[in-house]
Amino acid sequence: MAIRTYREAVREALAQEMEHDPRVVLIGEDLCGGQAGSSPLEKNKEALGGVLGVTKGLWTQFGSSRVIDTPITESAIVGMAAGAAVTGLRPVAELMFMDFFGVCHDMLYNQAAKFRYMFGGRAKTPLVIRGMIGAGYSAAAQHSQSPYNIFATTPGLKVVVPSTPYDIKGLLIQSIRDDDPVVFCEHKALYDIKGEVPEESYTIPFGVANYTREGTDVTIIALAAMVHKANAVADKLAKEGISVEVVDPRTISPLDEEGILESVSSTGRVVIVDESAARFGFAHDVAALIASQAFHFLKAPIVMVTPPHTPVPFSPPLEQAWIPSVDRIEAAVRQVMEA
Amino acid sequence: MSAIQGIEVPKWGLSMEEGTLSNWLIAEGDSFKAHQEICEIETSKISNVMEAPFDGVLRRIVAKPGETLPVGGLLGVVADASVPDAEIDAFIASRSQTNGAPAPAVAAAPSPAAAPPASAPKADAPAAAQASRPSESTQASVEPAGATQVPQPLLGKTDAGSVFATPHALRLANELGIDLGKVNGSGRGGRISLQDLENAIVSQGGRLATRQPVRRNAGPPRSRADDSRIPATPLARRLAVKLGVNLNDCRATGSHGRVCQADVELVHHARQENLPAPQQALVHVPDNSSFGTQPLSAMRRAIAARLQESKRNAPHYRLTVDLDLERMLSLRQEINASVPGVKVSVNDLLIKACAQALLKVPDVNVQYDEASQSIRRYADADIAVAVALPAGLITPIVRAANRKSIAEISEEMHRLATKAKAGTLKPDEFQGGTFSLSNLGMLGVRQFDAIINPPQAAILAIGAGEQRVVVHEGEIAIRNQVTVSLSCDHRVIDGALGATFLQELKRLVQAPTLMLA
Repeated sequence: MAIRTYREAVREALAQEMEHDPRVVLIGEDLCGGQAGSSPLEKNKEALGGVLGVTKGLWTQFGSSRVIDTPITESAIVGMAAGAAVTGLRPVAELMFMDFFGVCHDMLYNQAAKFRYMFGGRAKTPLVIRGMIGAGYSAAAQHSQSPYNIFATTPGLKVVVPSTPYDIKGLLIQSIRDDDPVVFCEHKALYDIKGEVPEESYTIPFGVANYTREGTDVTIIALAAMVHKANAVADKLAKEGISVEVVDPRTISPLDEEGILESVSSTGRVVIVDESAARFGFAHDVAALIASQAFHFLKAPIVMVTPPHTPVPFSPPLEQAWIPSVDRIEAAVRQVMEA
Repeated sequence: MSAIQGIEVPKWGLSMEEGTLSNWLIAEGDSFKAHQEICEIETSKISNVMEAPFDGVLRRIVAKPGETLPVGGLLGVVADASVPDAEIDAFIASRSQTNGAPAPAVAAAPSPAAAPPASAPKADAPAAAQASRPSESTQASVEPAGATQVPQPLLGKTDAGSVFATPHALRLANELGIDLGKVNGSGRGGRISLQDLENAIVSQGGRLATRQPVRRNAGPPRSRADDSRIPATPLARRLAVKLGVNLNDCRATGSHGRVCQADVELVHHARQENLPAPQQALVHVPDNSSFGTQPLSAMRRAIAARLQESKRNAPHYRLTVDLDLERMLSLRQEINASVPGVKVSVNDLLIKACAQALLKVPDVNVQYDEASQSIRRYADADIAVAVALPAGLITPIVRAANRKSIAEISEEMHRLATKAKAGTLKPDEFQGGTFSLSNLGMLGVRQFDAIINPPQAAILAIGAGEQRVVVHEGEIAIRNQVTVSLSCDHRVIDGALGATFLQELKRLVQAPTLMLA
């Protein structure tokens, strides 16, 4: 298997699906390189391939009808993509930063998510909204959030939060082939991590958690960048004889309830790590699931590791204190072990 | 009509809710007649002998000595000798489900036929496989022991590449040598969960091992480190000292990262729960604070509950007066010298004085019915007198003390105290009452405040009668005096009313011949 970065895995998934299905189109700001429209410098358009270089080379390969650079207008991007989806294309729209969902939320929340239902099941909306989440780059309060918990409250939206190159490729292809709107959250701290990724096209079904570590004493449930921190804690504590199981749900809507509950019932102790919110977040939803379905198996109170209830700070030391850290996760595991 | 009957915990008094079986007077297999004494039961107030409600043969003892059951709880099973043991087991099983009593230990019964355990609850065994929601009833019906038995048709090797299953289902299948290809998945996309696998094992005739019950860590941590620098709320710090909890062992969930009261209590409760045999506790407890643990007796619990309730609910206030005893003491001497066989105490005279004072001030001779928010007024003064016992205290009642002579009161008090110490008071001898006396004078206490015994509304605390230097009729004199304090429930007795009662009491004590009026 080839070693790929998370970034390359996204690009590979997009390229393979565009080759596989001519209905797949990309819509977003700076997909080509920030010089949208015809220009004498057209041959240099691919210079950047998006602010993170994820879509680099795709315009050259597929042309302006398949890779559509847009003005800075999220409502137009998602509105256009939703319309294209419901009329037969399979658009992949990019919001760049998920923080900006508020600008286009009607298109997503009240339109795309509801089409299938409002048209009595006769419409489908095979739409993917890609965007970055996550703190850690001093991008300040408006470019560092992880609002996947907000998307997951909406019936009709599927929400993917992948943690590895392998997962992101398989889940992105699955998202493009899925007939419902999918919000695809890429953690910006992960673009350069590397991992084994099959060169051929493959899919990972939604709602199937991945156990990145198997263990018997504690279950850590985590998403995206937090999975890697949980793995680090698991590896460290394994040397002390504390056996940690790390469960990465990968998609939070649908959620692999069985995968979570089975792990919890085998360990009896739970730590949930969530970068989304201090209140009403993913952690709180999973904690409620466990408390209501697997209470009898619990040996200790559920512990949630979340950021504080504040905007993401700009100051690098404050930001690092804000993000759930390896130390906090480790302390949480020790806490449930002692209870 | 089944020939099986249960012997149940009787209800001996209005307030009786549970009874502790102290001793069986007959053995399993014995036959008995109605009204024969069959066992001893201790309630919160008394221990008494239970008489058989009917004739029969005691087939099975369910409650062992020391076991506490609610009123109506099953003590034993009575049936003809011809009834098979299995039916008796089934009867016990059905009773333990319906009456909510703690499930009796059926296995402990040494039945001669050595019948297998009740077969009825086994029927719903498949439900026991529920992985994610183990209700108590299903857990109880799991086979008592043994490893999982996999039915033949499921055996094989799972082809991990072709089945869609959860990691735990895959792991269990590998452990048990099951081919998951032969199991139907009920999850999203036909995914096989652990529960699907367990259901398949049971539905194909196999058996599941009992799940290990959740076992928490052996004991909470106990630090000895200095905790004076740990941030804590003042209340938490005080409580920690009182409970012997080191703040290093507490979580800090209070504001500003401080240890708060709840954190300390949590550690304390965790220790209580984890307290193993006393000797092991001694091993863990540092330095000089060694102790042994003793569960509360039924009487101790009743005292604790009632007085806690009273102190919490009744707004107490106290009124204190000094009573001159000179004339009462000479009356006592006169009676004891002239009436043969009678030895009247000051306490007996005070009972009489209180009874007469209550007649004069009937608004104090009341009970407060909290539930119906009403006051019960009594024509007679039923005076409860606290009697100390080695294991607690009890308040036998001198009924209608206002209508009894001093000699009668003295005699009755003597009889009641004797019975109280023997634990043979009948419920109607200690339940009710309209007013209480508590006397610590014999222990040298000068003055104290008593807690009202609900539903009564007042109690008189009597100190020691002693010689005091006082001003009497304008001159310094040595007089026998006693200090009494009246505790009143302000919800029904106001201050002036309480004071009026004490005024009347003082008048009677200092002019005791008026008691005869």
